[in-house]
Amino acid sequence: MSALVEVIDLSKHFGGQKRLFQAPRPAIRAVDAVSFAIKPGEVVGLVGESGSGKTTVGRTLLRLTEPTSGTIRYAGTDITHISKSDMRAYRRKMQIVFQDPYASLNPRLTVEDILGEAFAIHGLGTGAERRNKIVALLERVGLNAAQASRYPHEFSGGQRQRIVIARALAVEPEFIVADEPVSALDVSIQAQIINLMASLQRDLGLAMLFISHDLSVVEYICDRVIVMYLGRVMEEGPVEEIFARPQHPYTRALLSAAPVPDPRAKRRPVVLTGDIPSPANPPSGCVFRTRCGFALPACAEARPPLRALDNAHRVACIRTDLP
Amino acid sequence: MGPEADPFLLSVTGLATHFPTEGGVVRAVDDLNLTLKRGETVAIVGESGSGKSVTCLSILGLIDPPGHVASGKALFRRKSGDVVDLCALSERDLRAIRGDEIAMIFQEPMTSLNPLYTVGDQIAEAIEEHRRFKRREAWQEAVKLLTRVGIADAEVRANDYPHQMSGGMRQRVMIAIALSCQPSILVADEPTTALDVTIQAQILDLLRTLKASDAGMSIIFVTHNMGVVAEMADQVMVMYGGRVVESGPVDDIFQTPRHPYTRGLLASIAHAGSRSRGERQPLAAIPGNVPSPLDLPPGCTFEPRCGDARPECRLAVPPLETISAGRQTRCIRWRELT
Repeated sequence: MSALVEVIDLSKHFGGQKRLFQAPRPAIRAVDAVSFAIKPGEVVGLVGESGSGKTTVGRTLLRLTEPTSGTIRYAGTDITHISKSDMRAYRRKMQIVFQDPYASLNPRLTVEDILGEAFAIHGLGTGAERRNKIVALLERVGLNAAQASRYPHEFSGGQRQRIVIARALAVEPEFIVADEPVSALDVSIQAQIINLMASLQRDLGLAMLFISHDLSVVEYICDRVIVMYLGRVMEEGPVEEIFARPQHPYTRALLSAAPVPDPRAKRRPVVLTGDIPSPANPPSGCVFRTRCGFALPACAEARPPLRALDNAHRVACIRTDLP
Repeated sequence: MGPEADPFLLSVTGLATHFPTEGGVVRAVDDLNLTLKRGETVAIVGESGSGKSVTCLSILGLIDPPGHVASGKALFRRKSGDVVDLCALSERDLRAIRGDEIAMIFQEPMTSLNPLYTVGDQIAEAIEEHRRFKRREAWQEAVKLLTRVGIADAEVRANDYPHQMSGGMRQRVMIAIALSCQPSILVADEPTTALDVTIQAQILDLLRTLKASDAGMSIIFVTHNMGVVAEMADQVMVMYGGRVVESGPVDDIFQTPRHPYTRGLLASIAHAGSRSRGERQPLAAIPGNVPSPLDLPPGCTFEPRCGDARPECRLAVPPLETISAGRQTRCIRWRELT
């Protein structure tokens, strides 16, 4: 099946412009030559720590931030440089759900207004049709018609995230970027929202880029996983492969660092020491080599290419001899 | 073991902390008991509004008016051997204990550090405040502490300002300040929540190592993450809506939870078994919403969300019942539910 969303060599650098009478600041390479593709109906997880560039990938992909270089394709069409008005047609197909449902809803609008706005912007339906659709949407996300006239502050965090999801679905998108959609929610509410997103994804056949630092949630909801570190892809593969047979030393470290909710589980040694280097001054060659227990002198010389293993599993590590 | 052989370090009984608001009195913490022994880590686990942070602030005498400790005792055994009630001490006496015998670290180290002073100065200041050290000695002690909390090149890094450090390093500095006075109790309120998972692993490892090398220190560890609880705790207290709903040794809490909320929380966590042959099984989510602290249900606070609730659960606040030694639950149906 051909890709629905495809990015090729996508880069986003912040800063680095010349300043009057001063030396230019080094550019922050938030995203550095990242390529991947998402098939229709596929859920791809994007994992990594803060500064890995995962949020910037999501935003750049939707052109909420303009890429520095690279190509973004949607259903085969290059949308990297199309105009804002042409982009509107694609915005309908590509929606985003943000982390913080407190910040992403206008406090002055009722739920009905918030959802109605989505229809109005894209010129969908008449008044009565919209009203019916709003009720159907609310019910689909686990709210009810009586709540349509309420304001965001009258809802809990979990309910607000349901409203944000309803708004994203209002325009019947094919693809959703979900940026840490449950991280701001209470633990007992997270599973509700994950279940909702999983059922919507399945029923509507949505493709999704699921950005998260919570590996257990990614393992649950995603078909494929991309692991990022310092703006680059370290490893990519089917979810079972990545979790059962992680190949990149960084992926292994990340998986072993997640605390396991079982006091009898054997405690794994801390493998990663030190902090993530600055993206303004990334290490040469492999960006992970300064924290890697398996680094060789050659790792400093060239950027390791994504090497294909079996099963659509790719890893950016030159060591083929790791245990 | 008799009480002589294993005396408590901290014994909190019947603690209630109230915040008067325009909408009524928020009973942030109600009827809370906690016993902390020397060298033990007690984890307080709960969601936002469960009262876990307010419990710590109450013990430390850091509740801002008009909030106040409405009732209860917090008996603390001082290094001198004297037992004092932290809830009845003057601010002046509390100050002598806080930072010295009971230290604390918080979620966001940046807000607790002064941006205008180097981290070395700030640690040295804490040392001078509580121990009879000259400035030079205090600085040297600060460098030693930075090394102990795992900061490489401590002599150089002591001259850094907080903004020059990463979040993980700043939390290490906070731990160094907390340790500077060799406290009997370290109160750690979500100390790794703002950190990345690989940095979190480092900080948890550091706290475990410090505790192992400093056998006397006890930790009250506040978190919402059951994984962190499993890695850190000896004893666990699960809080919901301002009350402890279950408490006991960590293994028991995870193996045989005896309150529907604890069971629900553990069951709702996504794990490898949530998918069988690639097919996602729906997660066992707890329905409903976290109750508003201004509008708590009259009986059991968890009753509106509980699949095992009966009409009688609504009648009165269930008492905390003892199941076995050191094991308690606030569920009237605990005998029939397993």
